[in-house]
Amino acid sequence: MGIKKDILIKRKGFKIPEGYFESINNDFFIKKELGVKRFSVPTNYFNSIDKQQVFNRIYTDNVKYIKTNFYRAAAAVFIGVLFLTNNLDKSNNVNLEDIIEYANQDMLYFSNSDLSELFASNKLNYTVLINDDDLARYFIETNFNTQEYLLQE
Amino acid sequence: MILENESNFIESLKNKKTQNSAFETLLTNYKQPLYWHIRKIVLNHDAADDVLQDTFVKIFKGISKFKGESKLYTWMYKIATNESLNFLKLRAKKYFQSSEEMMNTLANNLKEDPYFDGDMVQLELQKIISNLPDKQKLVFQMKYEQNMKFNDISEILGTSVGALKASYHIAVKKIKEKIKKIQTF
Repeated sequence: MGIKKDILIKRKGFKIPEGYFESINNDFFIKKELGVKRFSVPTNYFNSIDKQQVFNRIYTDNVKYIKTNFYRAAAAVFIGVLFLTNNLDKSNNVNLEDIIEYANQDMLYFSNSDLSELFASNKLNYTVLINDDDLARYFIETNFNTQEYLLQE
Repeated sequence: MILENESNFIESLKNKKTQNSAFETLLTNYKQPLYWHIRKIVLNHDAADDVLQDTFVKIFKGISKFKGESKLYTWMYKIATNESLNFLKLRAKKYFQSSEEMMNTLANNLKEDPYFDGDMVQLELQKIISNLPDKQKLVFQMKYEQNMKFNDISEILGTSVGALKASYHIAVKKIKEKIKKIQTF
């Protein structure tokens, strides 16, 4: 409490002359020596400012605003349409015949490793796929020299 | 500078039928004081012209929302001050490393400015003012150059009268010291 009282007393101890801050402007030496008019404007500048100029600016700003928002909206619609056409009903566009046609035209390439992965050995029964008659026909048609192969082995 | 019967005038500005002629009156009365207020902040004439037009656009668009809690002219000065400071901020961001660098460049450019009539000492004074912190600079320009009342400046800048007086006192002291130094050389 005592400290607060002390501070109050000290604060009241400082005084300034009445109207000091208001008068500081008038007897200020800079103002007397330097003046305040340093800037000028082009001739008839203030006459050229009229309400039409301001209204034109408002109109231009509005057009700019509409244009900007129109382009933004158009871009958003375009992206939306692009997304929908690329992602919706994709499965209906490709049917089985197309896939077979694609494969038949040799446009589908499988490497040896791809094929081996596709036909995992434990899932295939070779005896069902190749019978003895087919094998014999294959040897006859290709003039397979069994002797040669057997010798090499 | 204060229009007679301000509340009636504000109503005519808000009314669609009387808006155009009222705006013309407003423009006639305030284009010069607002221009000079802006010009002292942005320094260059073309920039001041640009900001002045933006200010009137904002006034015209915003008058319907003006509640009359402050005087019309302090409200307009507030818009002009904000527009000027925003203009400088954008320019500093776009073309300069810092706002100090920009203000130095703007003040130095005054030497070649055809619409700056001051001599060397006035140019130096402008440089000193330009390098003051924003609040000190604004209060100095409004009080010293435009003779505005502290109460009005307080409404425009949203700062207490006491704080403004202190800022003004500091600004005056700084300028005095620097001008004295220049004059002794």
